[in-house]
Amino acid sequence: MNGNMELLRVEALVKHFPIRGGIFSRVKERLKAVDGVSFSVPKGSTLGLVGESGCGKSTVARGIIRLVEPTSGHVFFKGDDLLAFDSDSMRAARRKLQIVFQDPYASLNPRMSVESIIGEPLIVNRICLSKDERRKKVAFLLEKVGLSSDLMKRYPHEFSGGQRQRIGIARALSVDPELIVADEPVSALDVSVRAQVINLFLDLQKEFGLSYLFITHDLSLIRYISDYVAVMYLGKLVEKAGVDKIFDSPLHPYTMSLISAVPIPDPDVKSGRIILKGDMPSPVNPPDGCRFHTRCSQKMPICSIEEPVMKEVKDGHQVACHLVS
Amino acid sequence: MSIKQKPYILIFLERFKRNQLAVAGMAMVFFLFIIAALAPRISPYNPALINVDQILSPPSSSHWLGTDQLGRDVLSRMIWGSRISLLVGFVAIGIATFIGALLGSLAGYYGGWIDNMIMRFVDIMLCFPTFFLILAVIAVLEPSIWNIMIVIGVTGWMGVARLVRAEFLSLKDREFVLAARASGASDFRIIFRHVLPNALAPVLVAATLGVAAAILTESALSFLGIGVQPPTPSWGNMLTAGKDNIEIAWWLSLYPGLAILLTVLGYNLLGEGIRDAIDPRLNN
Repeated sequence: MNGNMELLRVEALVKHFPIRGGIFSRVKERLKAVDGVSFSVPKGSTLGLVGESGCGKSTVARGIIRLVEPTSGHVFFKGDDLLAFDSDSMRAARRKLQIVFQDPYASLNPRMSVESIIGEPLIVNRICLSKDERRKKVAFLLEKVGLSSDLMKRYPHEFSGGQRQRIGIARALSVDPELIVADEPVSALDVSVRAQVINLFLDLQKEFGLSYLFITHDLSLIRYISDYVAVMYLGKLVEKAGVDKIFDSPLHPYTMSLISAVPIPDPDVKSGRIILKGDMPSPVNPPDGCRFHTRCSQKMPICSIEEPVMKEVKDGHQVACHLVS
Repeated sequence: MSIKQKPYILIFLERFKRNQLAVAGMAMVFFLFIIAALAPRISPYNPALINVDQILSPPSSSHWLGTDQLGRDVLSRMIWGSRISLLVGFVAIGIATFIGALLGSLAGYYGGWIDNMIMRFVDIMLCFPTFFLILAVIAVLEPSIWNIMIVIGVTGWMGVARLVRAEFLSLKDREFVLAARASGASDFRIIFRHVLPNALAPVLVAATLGVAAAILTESALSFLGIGVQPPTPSWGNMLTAGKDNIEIAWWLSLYPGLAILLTVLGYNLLGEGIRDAIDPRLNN
């Protein structure tokens, strides 16, 4: 990853949610949703962020565009630290940094027409102020995401899930962003529609030179769409590498078990699945040492004492595990 | 291309129609509106016309609902009184809904100390026995219909504020609100264009029920003589006259009383009908 091509660089991002209790609602405990996450997205490429439910993927996404306020860390976007911005500069920065949400049924305001939904970013960012100009742009965007421009007077409930997600993508595209954070954009869709929406993401990337931070728990999807992969477990990254390295030579036991769980579409191939025992520990009280040691099949004595640090093993392949150091 | 799904308003109307009591309530309210709108055309006499030859005459063919202690036609006075009831109901609840929606929005959206300040103020307001607060305020101000409407409105917004706040708490972290924030929308725009329109259904119910309560309060104040002042006819001050003559002229008490009863009942049935129709849990 060349430094000057880097569009987004996240450094030691931390988000702790305070859990309040007692009569004076003091902070009793902290839910450590994201606990020191660093990665970068080179311009024009796609970084896939994978991990199981509840590991903090969505909090990373929301922390980057400050929909939740991170506890600490840095988010450098084109060299500027977004977390140091005041609310006005942040509003301006969001033009280049858009998000597509997971649930297409919750992400569109049920009381606004498609035209107002897609046109709103154009109004609030003072891009198209005249109504005609805006209508033209909305029609253009609808065609770009594969919907007919005749549909702009309709309301969200008249559309299917896949169509709604296309509307959400059109809304994100309306301000000409450079980076789109896609927070599980297809996991709420039917399998048949999923492929179409994924291909739409790829087409748009080519056409507009977009970069994606693509968050998902679906590994086969990651392999198809990403250039780089970061694997997350319980608020921390465990492994980062180019997509082929992750799939061909995973180093972290957690990554290995995830990859072994990808179904192979051939009944004759014996799958050597590594089944993880138990559930992910609570992010309120993460285990000491390596966070994965409670479920790791290759646990060593040191794993429960010392936390492994992220180390580069070979060009661009980084892993945080005592096995490889 | 698009999936056909019934617009929400049609589903709502269908459910509402199945509730016969609600339809009856709506009919009563509608009837009252017609009466109030057509008052100058349908009232048989001038409501302020004094006729000394006809004092306290019982219901007859010339005075369907009888006359009062000054010989004025009770039916005409009731027809004109319906305007007062409607006006008080709507203006007072309009004021209450405006204040409640505004403070509830701010409390729910911003949270933290703003929320605490506003909601503790709500608690304080709720501690006052509202009716006696109104009495005290009207005793200081001069009793006029505008003062009454304002005072009823200013003391009746707390329920709306709580409702709106609760709706905001559940709506403000929904993805479409986050999406609006991500696209750079201001707080003002998010509150009034994204969240509030989605929070209005329960407010509509509260407002409909509130109209009934406001009409009742106005009648009570007028009955006590500190509401709408004679000679302006209102159902409440007609009852006062009825009380003085109740042993010899039952019609002076019965008809205004019935009118208040049916109006309040109508609004309550309508409000509850709307509430049931928008409640997704009662989907049968």
